Amino acid sequence: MTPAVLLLGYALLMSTAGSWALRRARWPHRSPRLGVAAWQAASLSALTATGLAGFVLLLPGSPLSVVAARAAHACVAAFDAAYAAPGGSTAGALVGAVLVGAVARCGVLLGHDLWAGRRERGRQRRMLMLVARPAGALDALVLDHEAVAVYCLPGRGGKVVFTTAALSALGTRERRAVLAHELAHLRQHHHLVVAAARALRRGFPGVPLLRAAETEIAVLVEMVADDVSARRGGRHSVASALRALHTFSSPHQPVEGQATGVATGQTARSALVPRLHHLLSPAQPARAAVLGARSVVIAASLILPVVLAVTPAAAAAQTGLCPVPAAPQLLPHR
Amino acid sequence: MRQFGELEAVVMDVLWSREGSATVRDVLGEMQRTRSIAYTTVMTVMDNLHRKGFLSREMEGRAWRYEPVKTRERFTADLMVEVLEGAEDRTGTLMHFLDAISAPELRRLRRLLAAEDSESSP
Repeated sequence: MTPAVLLLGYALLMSTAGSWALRRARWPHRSPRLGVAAWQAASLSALTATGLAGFVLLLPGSPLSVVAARAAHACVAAFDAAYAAPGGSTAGALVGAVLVGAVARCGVLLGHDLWAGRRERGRQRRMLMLVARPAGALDALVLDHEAVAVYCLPGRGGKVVFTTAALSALGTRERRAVLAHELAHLRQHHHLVVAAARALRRGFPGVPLLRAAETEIAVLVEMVADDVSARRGGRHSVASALRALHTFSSPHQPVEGQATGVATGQTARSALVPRLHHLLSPAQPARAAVLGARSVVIAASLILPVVLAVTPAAAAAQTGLCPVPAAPQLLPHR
Repeated sequence: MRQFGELEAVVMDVLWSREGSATVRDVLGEMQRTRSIAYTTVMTVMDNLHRKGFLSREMEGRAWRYEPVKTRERFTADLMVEVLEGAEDRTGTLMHFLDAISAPELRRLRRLLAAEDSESSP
């Protein structure tokens, strides 16, 4: 089978079976940091495989192929034969260009999102600085408003903001827990993780893996930040802050009602229940061997597309054979 | 730049607590009670705030009279709408502690603002 087909097969497998397996697994919610890595690796490896498939389809007959063949100490004809597209080189190159273009578009989307996000944050920060005041003992800003909200503005000189309503819904320990959670977002640049997942999903709309990755990563980074906060001030402080803010904003909907919230559609996307579950029923820490094995699989999923792409070149170099190109048929003039 | 940002907040505070318009000299007078500051500095800050769309101004005699475009409450409310909307479309611009609370809060806030708007424009 040609490398391009293998690579596309890998991307397809990753975005269907890989996505299915990750969504079914319970461990990502137990070790959210590794969970984020797993979703990122799955997305990135599918993307790399797609990009490399496009690249190898563009190779045969291109000037790049000569350079690459020389670098691999292979004969150019053998090299081109190894990467020959199944449907002929023109069709192959066309498909290749589309694939490479689609992958490059993800980069463009991400660049645009980051730029727009930065500009939007700058604008909001300027407005914020006109009306917010320091929160006294907390390293945060307070906005006088009766809506309950706590958020952070990432980027340089990141800020954590509480509304007065949020402050009054929380006790001292809970305020500290929420602040620690938001500071963890800022320190670990979670906004970039979220933005990257969003750019991939928009770059390849309708791919289940990328849709699930965006949703899951958004939940998992919250859990990562919860864990950081829990290590400082205790799991119960974070959990009771979550409950307090939720109760305050939806007084008629108990936390337990969140589980059925999917039916009403109102809170379908909420991470509240999984977060509380993660905080309050901490699982036995996974054994080092298990964590190690998961890390190896994650790393392997990233390396495999590159191996698939490079193997034919290595094989072509190793055989050292050079197929003689078919001599052009010279028809004698009549 | 950071100091300018702080001065902008102080100038807005002065204007919001006065109600009605004020000249640079009016604002300067109030600010000089708590700090030493030059006329040109206050003028620059107020000109910047006007350029950014936070203040409107009118020529009166030979001086500009400045006035906040929105009340402090409305300014904060509009900022809150943006903040809560940010939780909805999840762009990674802001990160909310609990994004589930933003939807009911946003609905409530929009209702309030709509009622306020229909009151002020008969």
